[in-house]
Amino acid sequence: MGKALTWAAFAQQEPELAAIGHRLLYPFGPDAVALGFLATTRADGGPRVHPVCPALLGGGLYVFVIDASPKRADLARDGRYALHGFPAVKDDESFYCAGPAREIDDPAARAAARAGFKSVVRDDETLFELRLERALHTTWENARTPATRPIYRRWRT
Amino acid sequence: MNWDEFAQAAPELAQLGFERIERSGMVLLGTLRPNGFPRISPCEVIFCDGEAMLGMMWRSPKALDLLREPRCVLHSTVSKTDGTEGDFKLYGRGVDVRDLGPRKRYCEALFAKTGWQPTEPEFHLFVIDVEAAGFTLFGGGKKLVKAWRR
Repeated sequence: MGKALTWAAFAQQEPELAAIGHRLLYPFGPDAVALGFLATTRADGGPRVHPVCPALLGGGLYVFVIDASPKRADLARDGRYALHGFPAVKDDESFYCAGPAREIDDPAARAAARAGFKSVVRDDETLFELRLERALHTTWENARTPATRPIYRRWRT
Repeated sequence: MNWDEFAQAAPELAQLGFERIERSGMVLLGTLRPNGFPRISPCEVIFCDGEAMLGMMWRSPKALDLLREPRCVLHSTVSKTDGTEGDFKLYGRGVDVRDLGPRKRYCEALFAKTGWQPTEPEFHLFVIDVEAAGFTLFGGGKKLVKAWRR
């Protein structure tokens, strides 16, 4: 597997897939809050899933997580994540990306990201940048018929 | 334990979970890829035979994940941004169902609900062996948390 990329570098390689991802991570429109489900790996190795408000800011994909939350501990221990765009809006189309999450502890970078987030960010939240190793867009052809089949658009570093 | 046994052990939590899942009929299913990365997939849930049943396309990635590593988590879908709908999580193991009886009843329940059903033998069916559950609700500046563990 290649080196994980920033959102901007991914978008340069795969502009169409990145545009789809952007649209599905902002189901209420580009000026509203972004929503997604973040999957992490628990200490016992099992999966965890939690709704989050990520943001695309300055070419990076970011998420704030509460310091005391189990998912913060997951990301600190094992940075591997998967982020799924919200299917509640339209369930016959979905986007997900995965890769390593990296904690951003630089106070200036944190403050800049906090100012750019449309969701409320608390003092006791840590900023992570989500870099990408893979992305997937799925649509369903002939949904709910015997001829149903998924159509995938995939990208990997 | 199956869904009904969970509902007997934690009736209030199970009712909240049932309502949240039935609202969309879907959950976000967390599984583990062969390389240990977490994976999330949307999945339909049918409550039938006292079980939370998850049907999956034949050889789909999430079904192959569960056949290899049964640990999983179901998370209710969310359509609002303020957390006032409540998040329901169910942790457990996906148990592969091969018996034709429950598979037939699953198909009938799915058809009654959606007007569509898969064709034998080309689908996977899993029931959830429940281990833990949680419910979180935000609203009015407050946070409500309920949790249960077997």
